[in-house]
Amino acid sequence: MTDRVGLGWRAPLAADILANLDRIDVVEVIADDYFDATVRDRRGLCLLGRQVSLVLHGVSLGLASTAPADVIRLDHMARLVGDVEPWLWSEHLAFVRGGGVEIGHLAAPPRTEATIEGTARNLATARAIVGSAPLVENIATIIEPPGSRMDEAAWLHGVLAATENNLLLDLHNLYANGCNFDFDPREAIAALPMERVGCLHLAGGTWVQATRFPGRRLLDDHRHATPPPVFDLLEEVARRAPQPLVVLLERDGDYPPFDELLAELDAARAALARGRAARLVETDVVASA
Amino acid sequence: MSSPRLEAFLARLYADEEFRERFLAAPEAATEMLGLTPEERAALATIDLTGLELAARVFARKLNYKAEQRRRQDWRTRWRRWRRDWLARLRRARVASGDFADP
Repeated sequence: MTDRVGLGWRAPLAADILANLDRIDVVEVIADDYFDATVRDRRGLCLLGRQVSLVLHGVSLGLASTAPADVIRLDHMARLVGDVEPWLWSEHLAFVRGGGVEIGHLAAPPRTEATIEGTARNLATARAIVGSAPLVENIATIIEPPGSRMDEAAWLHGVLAATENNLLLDLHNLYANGCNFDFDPREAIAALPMERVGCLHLAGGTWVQATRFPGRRLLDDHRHATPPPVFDLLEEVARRAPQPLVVLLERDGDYPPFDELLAELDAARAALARGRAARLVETDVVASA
Repeated sequence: MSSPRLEAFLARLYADEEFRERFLAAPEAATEMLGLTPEERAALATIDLTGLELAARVFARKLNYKAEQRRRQDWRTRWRRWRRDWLARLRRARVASGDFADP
């Protein structure tokens, strides 16, 4: 079993990533950044894909919705996937627009049977147009989605049960949601089908304070180091999941010296190793019982 | 519960500051105007206000950033975008008419 560890491709990190490919197994590229790219930039992306396993990550399809998916945006993704032939592609379980209004970022839909059905329809459309099924990512939310009838784990479970898509499990999103809405992310992991996890995301965040209403929330801003509890969750997933895992570190600003990011990748490998060792012990105990 | 209409309402609530202020001042009136069901209106009456304030702050920052990016685009990028969308619409029309197949 070979787990892989890598990080998100960002322009300020590009030179360091290319200089350290011996320590980076996979890179994740934001697909939407290349929808308008020149032929030369797309060729550059294809060349990158020949040097290292490449994941294309969508951020604007808004597939977790009762409204039908935008087939024009899906066509853009299909062209890019066709040109670049990535190892995998992924998109968020979020809605990003409604009634012609762009939200600007990922929003959690109401967690209901209706949004599970809508998401399943949209994921089927995405697969038909792009030619392969995306991994689907759980998102961070700092607002409890209004009109929800189930918790996050039950909703994610419902989406996975209704589709053949595998999960891109973002552990910091799960951790942040757990902090904000008072649930134990370990229980959520226990409730999810770990054999359906294709990739994992790691990231960091910061607490933000409301000024008009009381309270604060943990914001998944990708501008801070991955906190220790998130590595503990990674260890837990590695203990539970039978298949090889792909772990990707996300960093979107306030870039530290690259050695610090490489140290986070090493910490991820160590957490995976601890989880795999625990799994091996448990498997041996079951076999010898 | 949950419908394209509720999602449209939420999108406006998150992204449109003026609409959000109207909602916060008189939630019943704002939800009644847009034809939401009584169940959806009840859910919005107990909305997570701290989350709404903070989420709206994040969404506003992202929208401003994207607007700034669009302003900075040169004519070549705008042309590529226009051509890309036109070709995509053409391909989708051909798929719909059966002339062309998806992968």
